[in-house]
Amino acid sequence: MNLHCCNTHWLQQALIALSLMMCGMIQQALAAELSSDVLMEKRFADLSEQLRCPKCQNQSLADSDAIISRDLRRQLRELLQQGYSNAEVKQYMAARYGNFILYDPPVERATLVLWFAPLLLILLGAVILYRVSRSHHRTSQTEHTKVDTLNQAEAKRLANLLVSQDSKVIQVTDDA
Amino acid sequence: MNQDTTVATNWSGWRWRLLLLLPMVLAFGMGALLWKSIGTDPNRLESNLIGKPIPELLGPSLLDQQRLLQRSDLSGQPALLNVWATWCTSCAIEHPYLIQIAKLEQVRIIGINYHDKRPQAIDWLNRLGNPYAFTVFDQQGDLGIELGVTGAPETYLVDAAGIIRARHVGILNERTWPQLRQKYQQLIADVDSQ
Amino acid sequence: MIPELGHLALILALCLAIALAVVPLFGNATSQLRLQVAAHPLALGQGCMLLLAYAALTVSFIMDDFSVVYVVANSNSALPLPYKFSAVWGSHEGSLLLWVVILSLWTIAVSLLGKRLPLLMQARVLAVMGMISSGFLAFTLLTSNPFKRYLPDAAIEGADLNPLLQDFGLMIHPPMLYMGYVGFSVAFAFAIAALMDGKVDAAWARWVRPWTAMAWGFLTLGIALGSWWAYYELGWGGWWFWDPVENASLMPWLSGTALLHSLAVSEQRRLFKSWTLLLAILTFSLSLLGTFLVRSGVLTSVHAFATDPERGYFMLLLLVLCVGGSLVLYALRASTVRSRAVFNLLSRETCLLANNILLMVALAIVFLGTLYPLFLDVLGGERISVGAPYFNFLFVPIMALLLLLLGIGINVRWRAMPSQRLMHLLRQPLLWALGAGFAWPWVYAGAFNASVALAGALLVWLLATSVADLWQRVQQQNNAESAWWKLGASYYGMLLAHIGIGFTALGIAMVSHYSVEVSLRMAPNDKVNVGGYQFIFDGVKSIDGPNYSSIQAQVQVLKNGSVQQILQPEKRHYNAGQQVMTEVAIDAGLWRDLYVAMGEPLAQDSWALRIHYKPFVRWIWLGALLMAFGAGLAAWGKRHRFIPLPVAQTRHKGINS
Repeated sequence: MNLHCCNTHWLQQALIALSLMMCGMIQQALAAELSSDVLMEKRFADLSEQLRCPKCQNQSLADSDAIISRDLRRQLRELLQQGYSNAEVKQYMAARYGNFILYDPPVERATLVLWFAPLLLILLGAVILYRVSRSHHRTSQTEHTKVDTLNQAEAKRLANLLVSQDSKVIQVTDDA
Repeated sequence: MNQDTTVATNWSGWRWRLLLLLPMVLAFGMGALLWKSIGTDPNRLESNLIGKPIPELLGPSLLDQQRLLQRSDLSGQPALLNVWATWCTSCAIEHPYLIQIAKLEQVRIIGINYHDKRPQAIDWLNRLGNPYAFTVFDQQGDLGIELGVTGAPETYLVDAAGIIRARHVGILNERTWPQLRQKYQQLIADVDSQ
Repeated sequence: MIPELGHLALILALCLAIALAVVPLFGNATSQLRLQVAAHPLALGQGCMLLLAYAALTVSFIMDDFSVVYVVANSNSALPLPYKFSAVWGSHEGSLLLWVVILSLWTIAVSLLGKRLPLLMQARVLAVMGMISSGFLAFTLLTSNPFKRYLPDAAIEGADLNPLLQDFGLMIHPPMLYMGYVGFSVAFAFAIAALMDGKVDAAWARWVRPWTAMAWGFLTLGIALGSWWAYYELGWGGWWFWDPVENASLMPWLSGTALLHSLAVSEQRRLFKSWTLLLAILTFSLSLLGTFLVRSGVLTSVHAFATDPERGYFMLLLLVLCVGGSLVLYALRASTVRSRAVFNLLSRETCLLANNILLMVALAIVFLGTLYPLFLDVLGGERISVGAPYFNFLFVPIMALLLLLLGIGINVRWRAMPSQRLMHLLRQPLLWALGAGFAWPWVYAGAFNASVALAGALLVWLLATSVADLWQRVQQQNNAESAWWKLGASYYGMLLAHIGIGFTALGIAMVSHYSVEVSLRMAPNDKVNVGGYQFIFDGVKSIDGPNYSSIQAQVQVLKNGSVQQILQPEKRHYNAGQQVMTEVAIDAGLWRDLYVAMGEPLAQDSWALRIHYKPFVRWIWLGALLMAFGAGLAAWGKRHRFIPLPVAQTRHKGINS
């Protein structure tokens, strides 16, 4: 079997599929030029999910019926109509209600740990993965001579164990 | 299948032991933080506007429809801004106490009538008494948003220059007023000394 | 009378629990067989007492005994009977009692099914479970006694169960959740026993796996039920809010998943042993942490129980004792548990290690997001909120990576695998996945969508790699027919569970990207088109229920001009507590849900209505059902491969593994 030929063949297929996906992604980006009204409604819907009702038990502006929620939704709509960007809207709200009102916590000194700890953990995890695999692999190279022979005492013990067993064979399959 | 070696793990003794202590240390640390957090009110929200001035334009007056109230109407005196409404039952409970401190302690209180109907509000003040130097009629809650109001009753302490110094959420009564009173009297003293 | 009997039973249960915690361990230390064996009757006795106490509380509810404070707070004479049963766990005291009852049931199960374990281990495991039980029973009796009474003047009527809780979802969601939370105490107890013993071998891992799988399965069900309940009950069409209480249940789930996989490695390859022990401790600790967070009032949530700082302190003390104690034991003893064995970089061990790492990162994300605001506040910083934007941004990519790894992990062999071989196995699944993934958004919506394509690709990837592995294994056997059987229930359980998560992922992607939500004002005879269906509002009518009065809207659903359904959402006004609840009307389907909820009444007979079209939303919970079923199958399968006692004892004593 000509493995070399098959390898490149399926690799080619994979690359074609991937590039088709990329084309699709570009198409999606172009199609995103929707009408401005629909876009604004979408921004409104998104932002009202990202802003927290300052008075409720952990609900977004979208999900809450409190008076303050209705007021803030109304204000949000006005701000969007006045041409505020998403960032400016969030700034407006946070200036009055504190960062508490943002479900998306800002990246500032107080929240560095929050935002960067996961990244650091992934890196740490990669390092651990590498080191553990290597340590368990490397030792096999240097130590494999020890595995082959049992000394006399161990061989005798093994023989005894095998004799004392019933003919029951323990089926231990190579499973999950 | 048993082709394993008698391989010890790759860690030297003390490093391994130190690592084993880590979960315990983390757990106790977290426990301490959680201990401190019990009893705190997770809904408590400090005002983000402390140290910032109230808006220039406050809104129409409740009693005088034509008059537009502004920051300058504070007239260089510290004051309490009290957010109230006729639909707010806690405000009704708070109201007599406000009248008391306004009268007996000469506390200057400015009212903000929040999301209310003008006739009902005026009637309420007529029936229950009016502790306010003047009242802003904030029907849509616009002033409320500027101040970071989340509901009624809330009280803000403002200094002579119109800068917010403190915020109190909930009813003002014998228990909750003393703390705010201290700050208010400090502000008065600051004005007098100038 | 009956509440007093219940109270007495509770006290007796505490005594038995303390005995269970102490006697077998004492028997261990002094090598007295009788004392060790006493663990079994003690466990049984504790269970019986707790069942009696629970029955007493239930009877109080059914008989409307309004002299009991808890019944007054959570029930009403007009409450329908089924809800009187579930109102028992409607609030803090009763749900805590349920927690302890379930713990005693798991203890009895371990006692009955663990007769083949070495006696030493039986005694230790049951003793540890007794310790946990003692702690919680003490907590219940001292701070949260459900049998407190208004004497001599009983109340006339109760305050009624919170209307949000008056439905089917609530009846099964907490018990399933608690079965999961508490079930992890078994793995925890086994870990403590192993630490005391100073050794972890393949047999230990084999014993613990089915228990962990069962607990995990229940927790999966519990979480899925909670999500489904929130979806149809809360009225906003959401199914996951990254709410602190939801996160509190997700954290032990993530840790439990890691534990399941780490146990596999410990059993098959005798590796990662101290890590597995730590995971077992961590998982149960997270269950306890969840219990604490929900009941202590430190976090804001619509789901949180009413709180009391005194209870918070007690619970935290319990938590510190349990978790701290176990971690101290771990620090002292884990170094005696050494892992051996070698494996290559490309091997199942590496994949499972990577799986664990990814799950731990995901856990850290949820943990940080939930607790960071709390920690920041305590340390004097500002108050911040962490919500869906944070979690979705970080959590979703990790999960996607995990699913990708899953396909590889299923096919890779233990110890080592030639990369050529692996590529060969994965080649077709990869092509299928990429092809289907790219095609799917086009087929469904006529336009490309990256997230949906990815989710579709991942599902097909999971299916294809599972089939590839299945085929591979069947081919390896000589006899084709019995090969299917020989693979065993455990293997099929694993495949099902893995495929289940693929379904859930696709459901999530579809409903996130293709759902249509419309909020609008409708007067009678108004029409609107949503998601290919036409909705006609036909006005409202008044209806009276057993303990509520309601205004019910009539909404016709048409497709292509013909009436499919009449949906009847309601606005209910509950008599006792004067609460207003929105009852959503849902036309459920495998491929889509139609979801109609009433908003506020507007002028002249018109109402604000919210109409949602939600494609594939049921796949989320069907995937979870598959996962739970797979876990159950896997647990059941392992039982049949149990090693009989004599051999196990020999292995245990003779071979220093």
